[in-house]
Amino acid sequence: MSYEYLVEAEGVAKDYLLGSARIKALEGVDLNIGRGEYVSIMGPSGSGKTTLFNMIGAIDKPTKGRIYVDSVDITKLDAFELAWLRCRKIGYIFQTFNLIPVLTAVENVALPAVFAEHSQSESAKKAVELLTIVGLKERLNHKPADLSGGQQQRVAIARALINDPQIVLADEPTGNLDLRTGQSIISLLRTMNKERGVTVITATHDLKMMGISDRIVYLRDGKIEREETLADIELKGTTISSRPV
Amino acid sequence: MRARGTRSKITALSIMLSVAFMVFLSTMASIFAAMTGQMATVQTHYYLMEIIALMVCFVGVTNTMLMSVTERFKEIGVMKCLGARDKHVVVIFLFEALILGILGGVGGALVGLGIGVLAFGLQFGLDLVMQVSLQEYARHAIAGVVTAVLLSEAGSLYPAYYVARLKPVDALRHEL
Repeated sequence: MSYEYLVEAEGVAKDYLLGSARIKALEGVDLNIGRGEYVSIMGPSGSGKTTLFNMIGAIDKPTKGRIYVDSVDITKLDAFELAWLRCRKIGYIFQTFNLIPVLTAVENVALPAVFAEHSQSESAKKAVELLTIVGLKERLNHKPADLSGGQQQRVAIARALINDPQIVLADEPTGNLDLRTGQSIISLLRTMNKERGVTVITATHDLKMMGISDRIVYLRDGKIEREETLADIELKGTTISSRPV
Repeated sequence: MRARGTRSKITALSIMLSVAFMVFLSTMASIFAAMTGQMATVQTHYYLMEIIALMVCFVGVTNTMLMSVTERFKEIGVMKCLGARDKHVVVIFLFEALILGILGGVGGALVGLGIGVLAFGLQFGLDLVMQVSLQEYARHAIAGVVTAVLLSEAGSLYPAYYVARLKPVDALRHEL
């Protein structure tokens, strides 16, 4: 395996048992993702996007195959080591935001830092900085119920970045947002990717992602159907009109 | 959220009632001892009633906490994705149990002492209930609060351990 890639998936397969039936969610996926890359994984429902996502994000293990994150085979890690990896190397953004309802924006953002056992004052200070960067300086002490969908997703982005992860995994980050808000979230993710050098991997149906991703991986029936780079897409001229504002 | 708050209040109330009963019995034993001039002892059948009340409360706390963790599977899954370890999840639930135990315990101790002192004071006169030292009443109250905290923590141990061991992907997939 090589060190130029941050994520390497080798022959990753995942089976689920549904009653007595064995469902093949992934069938031998090989995928390499470089440091600082912005990759979108696209495909219809049931194509295996979320399953692949869970494997890369160290929240599930493959039935077969290997996944390397920063040159560590994460399929061999135990629960404690996986928690450590999730805490420090990976940031998550969910479609439904998944903020903790009883915590304020600052507390939500600081939560992963608490799990990483950073000091409270340091975590809070960094949370405020990140919320300022994502444009929520005026909403620091608001609870999720008092924030709009777009604002909640911004809090989730700040939360994903609090421990300076190498990878941010965003599962349908615009799925619950209107067009304009979705575009601003995509722009924000791209900015974070460029300015902080963080590798962004999104699972999405959203065609707006095409215009800004370095690479798009199309999944179908648990296999990689094809891959396209930004240059390929621009040559086809398919997404210029859908570029984020 | 509102359902969760209501459930917590009911749990604290059930702890409070059990502890109030326990503190009332201890207070009664102390006042009877002051009346008869003998040592304060709680009779065996009172002990049995007390134990049954505490056991009912223990089962109630466990049941409530199990419902609470089931309702929060997704939240736990999110926390685990964000890097929470099993111990963090256990600490969150045991801390909640501690708060419920303290609230229920303090409430129960005050209610138990209040009813005991008031009932016997009205029946036999305030002079009699004043014969029992303040330290003894305080001892009953403290025993009540400690019992409430232990009861609440013990009732929450299994639910907390159960939810802490969940795999993040299973917790995230859970839909109510």
